[in-house]
Amino acid sequence: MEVIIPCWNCQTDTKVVDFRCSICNKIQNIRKTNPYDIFNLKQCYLIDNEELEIKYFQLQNIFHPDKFINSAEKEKEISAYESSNINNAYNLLLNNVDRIKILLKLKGYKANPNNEESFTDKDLLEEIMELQNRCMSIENENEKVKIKTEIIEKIRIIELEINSNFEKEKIPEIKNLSVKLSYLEKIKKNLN
Amino acid sequence: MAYSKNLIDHYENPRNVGSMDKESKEVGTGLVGAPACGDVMKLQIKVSDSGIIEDAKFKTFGCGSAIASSSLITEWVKGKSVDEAHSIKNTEIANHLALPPVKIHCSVLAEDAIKAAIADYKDKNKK
Repeated sequence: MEVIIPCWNCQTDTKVVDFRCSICNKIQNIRKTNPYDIFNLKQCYLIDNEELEIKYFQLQNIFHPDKFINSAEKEKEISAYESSNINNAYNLLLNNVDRIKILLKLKGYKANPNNEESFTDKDLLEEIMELQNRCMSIENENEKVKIKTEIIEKIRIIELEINSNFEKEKIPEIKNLSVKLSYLEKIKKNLN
Repeated sequence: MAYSKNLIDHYENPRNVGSMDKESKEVGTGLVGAPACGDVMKLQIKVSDSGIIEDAKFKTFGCGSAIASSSLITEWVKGKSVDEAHSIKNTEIANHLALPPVKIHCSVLAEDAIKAAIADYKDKNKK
């Protein structure tokens, strides 16, 4: 990847190849503000986790602080900053609820205006409560596997719906689905 | 940080866990949730002809503070009139249980749940 930016060391506009200045070879900041751009991913809700993982390792291979033990202070600083930046971005993108917030923000919508208020959609809450009741009365490993498979399938369908709603810019629908998704993810986590 | 005695007491020995027939005219059901933390709270009240809350039950899936808040509020509303119960503030719950700042929303959930239960009861008994 090649870009032209001013190098902090050379103080001139230089070609940067793989985040290093082509003149002095010093490491450069990523200069990307959102997680999708950091990994050079298309801004879609459904992402390819394998592609993301590969890019994550490629970037950490460039920026990891272990590679800068004998480097200049400024390089250590950039490495520490960017490698933690990369970790954060990676974890955000892996999280299917966080990804909704990121995309909403990128598209200029407020992520969760009513985060502080109690949620009152009865049908959804009843469905969740029913599911939680079932989880509480699990008696054996088979039942647990069955419920977990069911939840994973529900999550998969919701993710597809969210993806298609993002494509159609149907924002209110996305917000409701995101509530359901956070509940299901929480139940799934508690089952582990 | 340690949780208060009151909170631990309600968490370890929750009062009035259970449910009532939500179809009954005497019963008001409030169902509220906090998606961010995955809490769901169901609170039910049984109201006498004279408008006094005779019984209250709850079922909460959530953290200890959410369970303690709902347990406490069921104790408080019993024997009170619907209007008195409606005026219970989340800050009273939070103070009694000494909820830490990050758990204040659990008491808000309990207040919203009782208000929702009362609204449901009133809705069912509209003349």
